[in-house]
Amino acid sequence: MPDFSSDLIWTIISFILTVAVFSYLFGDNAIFRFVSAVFVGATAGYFAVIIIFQVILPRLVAPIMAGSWITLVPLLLSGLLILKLSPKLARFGNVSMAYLVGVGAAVAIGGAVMGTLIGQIKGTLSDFNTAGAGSPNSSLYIILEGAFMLLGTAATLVYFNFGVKKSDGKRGALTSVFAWIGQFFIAITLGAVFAGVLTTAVTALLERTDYIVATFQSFIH
Amino acid sequence: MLAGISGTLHSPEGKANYRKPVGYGSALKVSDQQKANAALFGSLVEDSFEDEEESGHKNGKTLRILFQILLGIVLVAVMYASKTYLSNYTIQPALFAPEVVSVFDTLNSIPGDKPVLLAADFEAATYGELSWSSQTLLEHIMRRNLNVVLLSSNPAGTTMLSQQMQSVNQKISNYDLQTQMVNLGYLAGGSTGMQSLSGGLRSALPYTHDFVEAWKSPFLQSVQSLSDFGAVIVISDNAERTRFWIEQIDPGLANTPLMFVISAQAAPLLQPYYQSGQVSGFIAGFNGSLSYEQVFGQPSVSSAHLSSFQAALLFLALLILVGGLVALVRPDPTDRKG
Repeated sequence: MPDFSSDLIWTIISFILTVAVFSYLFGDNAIFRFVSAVFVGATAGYFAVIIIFQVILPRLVAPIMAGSWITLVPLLLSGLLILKLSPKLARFGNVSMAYLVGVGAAVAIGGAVMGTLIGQIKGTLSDFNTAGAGSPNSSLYIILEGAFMLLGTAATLVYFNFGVKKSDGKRGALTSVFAWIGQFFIAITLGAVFAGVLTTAVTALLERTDYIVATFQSFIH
Repeated sequence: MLAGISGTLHSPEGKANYRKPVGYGSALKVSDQQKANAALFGSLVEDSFEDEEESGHKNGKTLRILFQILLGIVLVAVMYASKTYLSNYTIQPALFAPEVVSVFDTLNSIPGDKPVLLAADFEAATYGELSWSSQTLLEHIMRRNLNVVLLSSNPAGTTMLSQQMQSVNQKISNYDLQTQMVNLGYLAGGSTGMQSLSGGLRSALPYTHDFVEAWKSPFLQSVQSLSDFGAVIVISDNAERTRFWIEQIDPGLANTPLMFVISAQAAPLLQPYYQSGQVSGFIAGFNGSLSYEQVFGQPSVSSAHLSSFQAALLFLALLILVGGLVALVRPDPTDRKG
């Protein structure tokens, strides 16, 4: 009698589910829809368990049990948020929503300014740093490379400036030239992103087909 | 995740609100270029609804499915034929990306007594790609005998990451996951949660995933903040969330290097952060892991599948080229319909 270990059972289930997902090649069908529903259901259930055991219990229940009364504040806010489900009581949940949106926006804006805006300005400026260059030729190369980066950054930003002159309702000549150049940098970026998406898809296909072949071979042997 | 795949997400209204696009009124002030764009968009939308609306196109639909199956079979056949018959034509990379070499050098320079923080921020859909991309890096960490702390900003992240650690650990007998790895579990709150890591690491994640006090572990006694780690490595499949990590934890890192293992689709948007020095290095997708394997001198999954990968990409590039040429020479869809 074959040894039905848990590994073997999970391998068989994974194999069947993988093949079922590939059935989408035949168009939308009941098997694919069933597998999608299984994945969505299993994920939702799993997430609920993780959130109960790794967020609610350690971050809310345990501190209250330990006498940390300040934790009653998030408990109260969570309770108010649940009231959003009722149209009559929804306004009581606005306090929690305001808190969440306010903190979220502050964190996002602070991070974007300090982490991305200032960081990227520094990065663009550091492209002109010739301190490490060995020869005048390499200094010139560094400056040219930095200038190209600066042109790309400025032109891309100008492309997204949709302001027009009041007099004729058109962009200024300089803005139009920069926006035209900016298009090329944006196109190159989008091309690189598309190539990345394609590479990711090919790798995923390779990994899954490899898994199917390996499982099939192990069944045969 | 499933949006866009026909039949997987159903709107509550059914098809009641769908209709063919209406023509634009003559009173609108639109240029010829805008009219041409609107006509092109209209024809695209019209084509996509015709398949479902007109029963007379069943033959066309069958042909399309047959064509899909044929392409799928040819793609898989090309991948596997290249592994056996075309492996001599595989082009090995001669130069390695500086961001990958930087990860290798940085990892080699981490003091042995400092643990590494590994953060998982990816969905199950990209686990296949990221498990290949991170495999050699994790092996490198284990061969250096560095202690590891896991956390995840996604509920399922640490489960997948610890599974990956166990898989890599099978090759390295002297690395003990029980004593050298602490799993802090799920970090809730998205970017706010990430920010809390910078503000107070111990209070942000006081317990392990199995509800044991996390910071009593012997190798975590000296860790008070993010800057006490030897390195922070984030495994991610999303460019936006990668940006959040950089923005939120960078201020708390001091001199601790921040590195990434990312999906190839997120790589172009991470490059500027590497060039500005905010990120110490990253491994992106299949090509990144291939370079890392070769720099590390341990050929693994990427090296084994290189010929299949290159053949599949070449096949898809040809397909896109041929599709583009056909679209260029075939009559305009609006002309065909009169």
